Amino acid sequence: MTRNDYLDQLRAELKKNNVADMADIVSEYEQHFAFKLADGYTEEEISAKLGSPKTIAAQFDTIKETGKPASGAGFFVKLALAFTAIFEAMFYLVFLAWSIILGASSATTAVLGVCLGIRFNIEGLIPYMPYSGSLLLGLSVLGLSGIFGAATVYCFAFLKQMIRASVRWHKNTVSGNTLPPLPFNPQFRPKTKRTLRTVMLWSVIVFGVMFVIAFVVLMLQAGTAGFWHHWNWFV
Amino acid sequence: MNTQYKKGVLELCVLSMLKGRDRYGYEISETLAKRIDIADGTVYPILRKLKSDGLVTTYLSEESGGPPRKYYSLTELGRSTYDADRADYLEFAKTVESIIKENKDDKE
Repeated sequence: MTRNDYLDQLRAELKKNNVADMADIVSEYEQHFAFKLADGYTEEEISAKLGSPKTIAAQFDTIKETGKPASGAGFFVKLALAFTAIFEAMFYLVFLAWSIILGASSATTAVLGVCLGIRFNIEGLIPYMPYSGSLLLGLSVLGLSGIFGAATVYCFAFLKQMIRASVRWHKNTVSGNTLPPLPFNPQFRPKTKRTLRTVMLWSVIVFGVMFVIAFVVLMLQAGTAGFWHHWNWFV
Repeated sequence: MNTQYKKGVLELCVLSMLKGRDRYGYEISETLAKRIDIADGTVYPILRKLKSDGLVTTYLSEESGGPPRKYYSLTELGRSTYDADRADYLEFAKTVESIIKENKDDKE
């Protein structure tokens, strides 16, 4: 076996046995060849005297096993992870509350919008205004409901994905496994993503435009900029 | 000679060689291979094990006309380990010697 063949085989065997510091080990054998060649031995003779690369590599492997670090997380890492989990859980609870508030806002504004549109005044909660203004304001509020609705869907998806990613991360850290980490941002199917974006866009447009129109119409009907004073809304 | 117990004493031989002065890998390998029937390549894994056990350290040293050589040097731990292991081995060898001699005498 030539020098290069020997060193190549040694590298391959070391790699197969998962031995650390391969380059360092091989350099030692390169030096051995250099010294022996200088003494007048042939590459074949040197390779034969060294012993087969497989046997040599196996001897390095046994060394590595004694100093092998324990896989998986130690006690303190687990403790730290537990504390992290507590803080994460608190954050998720707050985020969950926020998402629920968004959902409730969406539902409330939807009801308000419909009530304004069909002039259904529950318990006289909605102050007086002419029907044209009421209808326009109702549409604007429905737009607001759409904004809240899209935001609610997004936030719940975000929360779900954050929890999944975090669970994956915790599992990987504890077990030393290498499952691919999950992304933290919400993962939607392209179709859902497009729908959500369209709903959001149109909701913003409807809310903005209708609010301005409703405001102007109400002003004109009341004959004053502060139409809410004209109809005594806050008395 | 049985390779199984050669391996055990080779570590001791390497430590012994390093007790006097620092040596580079090839020097140790050559010296041992000349006197003990082992493959040339087996000393390097032993050196590496001694290093990972913290009994020796290494450093590179430039030599005139040649690549830098990797020198091995005994650590404090290596020194004390060697002294203890040496005493153990000598005691053990003496016992083994006396046992096998006794049995030889019986046969005769």
